[in-house]
Amino acid sequence: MSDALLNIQNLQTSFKIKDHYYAAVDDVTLEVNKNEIVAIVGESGCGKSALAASVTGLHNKDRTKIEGHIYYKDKDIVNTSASQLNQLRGSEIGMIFQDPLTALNPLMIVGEQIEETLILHQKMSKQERKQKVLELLEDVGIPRPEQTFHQYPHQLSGGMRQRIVIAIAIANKPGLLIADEPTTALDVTIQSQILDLILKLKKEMHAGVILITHDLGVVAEMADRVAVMYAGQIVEVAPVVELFDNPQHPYTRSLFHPHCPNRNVYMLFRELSRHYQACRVLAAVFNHEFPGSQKMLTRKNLPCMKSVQIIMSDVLVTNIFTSWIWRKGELIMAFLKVEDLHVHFPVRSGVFKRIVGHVKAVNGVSLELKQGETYGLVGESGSGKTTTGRAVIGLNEITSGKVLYNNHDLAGLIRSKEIQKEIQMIFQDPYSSLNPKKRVLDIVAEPLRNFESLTKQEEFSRVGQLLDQVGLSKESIFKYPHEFSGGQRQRIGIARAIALHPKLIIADEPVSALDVSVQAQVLNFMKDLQKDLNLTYLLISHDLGIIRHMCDRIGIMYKGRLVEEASAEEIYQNPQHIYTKRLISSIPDIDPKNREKRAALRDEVKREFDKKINNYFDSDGIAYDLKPISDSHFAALPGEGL
Amino acid sequence: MWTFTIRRILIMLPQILLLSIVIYLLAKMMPGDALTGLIDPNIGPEAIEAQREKLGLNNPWYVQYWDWITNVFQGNLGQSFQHKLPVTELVSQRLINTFWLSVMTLILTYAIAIPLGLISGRHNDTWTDRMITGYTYIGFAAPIFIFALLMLFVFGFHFGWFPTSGSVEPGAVPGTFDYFISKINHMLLPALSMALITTVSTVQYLRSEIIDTKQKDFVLLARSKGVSESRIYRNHIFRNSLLPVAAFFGYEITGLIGGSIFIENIFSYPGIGQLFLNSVMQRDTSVVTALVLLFGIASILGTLLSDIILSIVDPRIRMK
Repeated sequence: MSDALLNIQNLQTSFKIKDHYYAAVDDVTLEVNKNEIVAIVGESGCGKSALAASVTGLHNKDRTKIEGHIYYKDKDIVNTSASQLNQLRGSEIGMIFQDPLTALNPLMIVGEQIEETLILHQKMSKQERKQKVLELLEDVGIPRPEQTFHQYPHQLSGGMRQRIVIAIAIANKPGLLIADEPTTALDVTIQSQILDLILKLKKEMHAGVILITHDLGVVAEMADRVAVMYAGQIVEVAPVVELFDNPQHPYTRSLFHPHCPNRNVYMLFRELSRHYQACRVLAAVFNHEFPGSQKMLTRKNLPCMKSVQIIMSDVLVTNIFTSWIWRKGELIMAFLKVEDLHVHFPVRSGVFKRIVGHVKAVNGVSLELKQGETYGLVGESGSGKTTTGRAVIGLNEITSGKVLYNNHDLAGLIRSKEIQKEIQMIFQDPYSSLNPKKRVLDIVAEPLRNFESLTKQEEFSRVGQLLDQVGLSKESIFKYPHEFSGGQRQRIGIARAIALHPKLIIADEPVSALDVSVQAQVLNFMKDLQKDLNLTYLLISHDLGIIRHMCDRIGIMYKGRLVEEASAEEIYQNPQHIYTKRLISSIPDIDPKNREKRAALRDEVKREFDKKINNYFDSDGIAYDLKPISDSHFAALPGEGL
Repeated sequence: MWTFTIRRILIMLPQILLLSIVIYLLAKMMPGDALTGLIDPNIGPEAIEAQREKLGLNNPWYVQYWDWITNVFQGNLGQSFQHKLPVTELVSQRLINTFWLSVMTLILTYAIAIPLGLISGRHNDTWTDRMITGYTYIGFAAPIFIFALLMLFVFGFHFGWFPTSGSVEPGAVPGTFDYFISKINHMLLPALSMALITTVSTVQYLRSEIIDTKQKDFVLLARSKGVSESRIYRNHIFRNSLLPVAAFFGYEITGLIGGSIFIENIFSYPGIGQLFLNSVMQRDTSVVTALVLLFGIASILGTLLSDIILSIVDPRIRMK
């Protein structure tokens, strides 16, 4: 027996779907040592989460079959009883979940939730336990442990909640930590804090860590070794530097293609998955290069084989990249102009709900969109980006300021039908923004019914046309939303948005609820559509990767104000405002060799940020107005130099 | 918490006022008035008219409403012509009977619903679950008055285990232990008949809520802490699943009022449900109006109660 901490041998995890078992994890062998971070990378559906669930025994036992062996310190987890497994979980194996907003019990104060795991695995007096919880809270960087102990999860921010989840995971000093996409749901600045925390704890506890992620940047920053997972199998395992320098397997190679500059690997991943119809067709490509991967093709859950002829070639990849160079189009006068927009929400309190103050969600934002361009609004949650978008379309009342659309003022007026038609919105969550009780026909035709009087026949053919345009078959017209996947649902949402031939589309986090490979499909589809219909997008997102991929110009929002505005490249290469610098430095870098340098830079920027951020606000705590840096670059810098 | 409760109570006042106006107008629209049942057919029309004038029945409706509502606030709900008693006196004794019957029914309802809902939600799609849901479908489908008649026949007449009418053994002395036992004994069968039917919606609620909750992330996290299955249900799933049941509690009271009208008549139980039906038949307007007002206030209080309960169990509401 090897002396590895965790030793997975020939693991096969199968899920039962309608009386058949499908292997989600297919013959996986992997070791994790003490004091080592092993990253498992792969797109959604490749089986990486199923692998983690098998290790912790958190799968649904009625529907799952596990074969093979998982040895943790020479104890085989596959064949342990439920009570022995409970002993192991929480004390020896700690788990960090993806979404901190749903991972904590909403009815229990967080102190109790941390205490629970101590009660189960250690004998302590009440005082000792409380003391230990407070220490844990301090370890994970909670500023006021005593106060936080008595708070409920909803009173804490997402980053704080993830710290609590981590505190629970490390409470009993586990030998193995499993982090399943621990930062996917968090803002990028919080992401780097949480990643640093995991690194620090790993060093202190000498624990082995399995880090599951789809983000190569996170891998490069964190991992010691990387396992690339594809279609249930581990196709390549290597130390991180080696893997990034010299990937062997075609799938891995596709992730690190030489034509792809480092920063764009993530994008390439998305592009490729679009061209290869995600996983399924890649399987065909593999088969071409690797006859041994025949097994994947026979799997029933990989049915799409229609593009077998696509062979991954340098030519194709190059083409993908050249098509990225955005059209520098015939940009005319401002199409949408927002001038000094303020949206304030009243804060009410007391028995009679008197207004006691205002939350200044948007506090003086001005921006201009030209027809046919994509403008990206970036910022962390609470920065006011969503409110800005909603104010433009009229879903939030404007406190003061102007929104000029084609020189019509939209503020405070009842909008004419014509303008209502021309501005449409794509919503964030395709699961909840489509009425589950309505058929696709009714969903897509609803705006048509409001604005145009069509006969049944005309309506039918228009909806069919729209579905065709968004790449859905005409048969879907009588289906209900639940019959579609997330990506397809978002396409339905887009069909609804473009039904009235709009000119401006406000897309609020259009893909953040979707899987990464599906994100690429939807985003690229949005780009194609923009070309075809000459659309203007106001794209709102917290994901800098998406914004960079999609947008011509970017506006960075911070605390209700625009602090910097420039072209996407300019923002990346030459950030001016301290907050932009911090944001850019927080994005995980793709090159593992830069790790130390990046970390140092990040620390430096953070220190600078903490020290100087106040200089960037005037005496009322409001960011300065934008000043030109060059003719297309604006930043909210203080009047005198720093 | 307190501001929440106080605000909630303040909202209640206009609700009750509005309710009283609606009820008064409805009563006015019924054929006949407070005088109709009292009139001796031999009296001449002039005398009747004089009496009407004297009682204020010819005043505009809002004046009459004002007279009525000020009386109500002073505890004077009028006179029942049928029983020749003040309505207040007539209602108060029966109200206590109905109150205890309702409390008993509520206790039985939750005593049945919570274990059944828990079992069927925890072991969903097993045979036990199918039997429990089968029962709930029968409960949804069976009309309460047929079911109650059946219970009365089987357990009251056939087996003779329970008394079949009244609220207490005649001759029992109030305050003694026997009196108390006899009261309970008389309530048991009607309460059980009602509870077995009203409980099914709560069972279903709890079941689907548990099925929903047990897939939540925080339950997964609890499992990853090594919490045993029974403790997970006790500490994490159960309380979260009870939230909608608690929210439903107030409406349960509204349902009880409807149920008690049937049940009290079938079991000849001297409560306000029986009085209500009786008074409607006899056109005893003042009693009917008073009772409808009472029922309305009970429903409003019920929703108040569920809001308060919810704000106690759910910290997310408490804070607002």
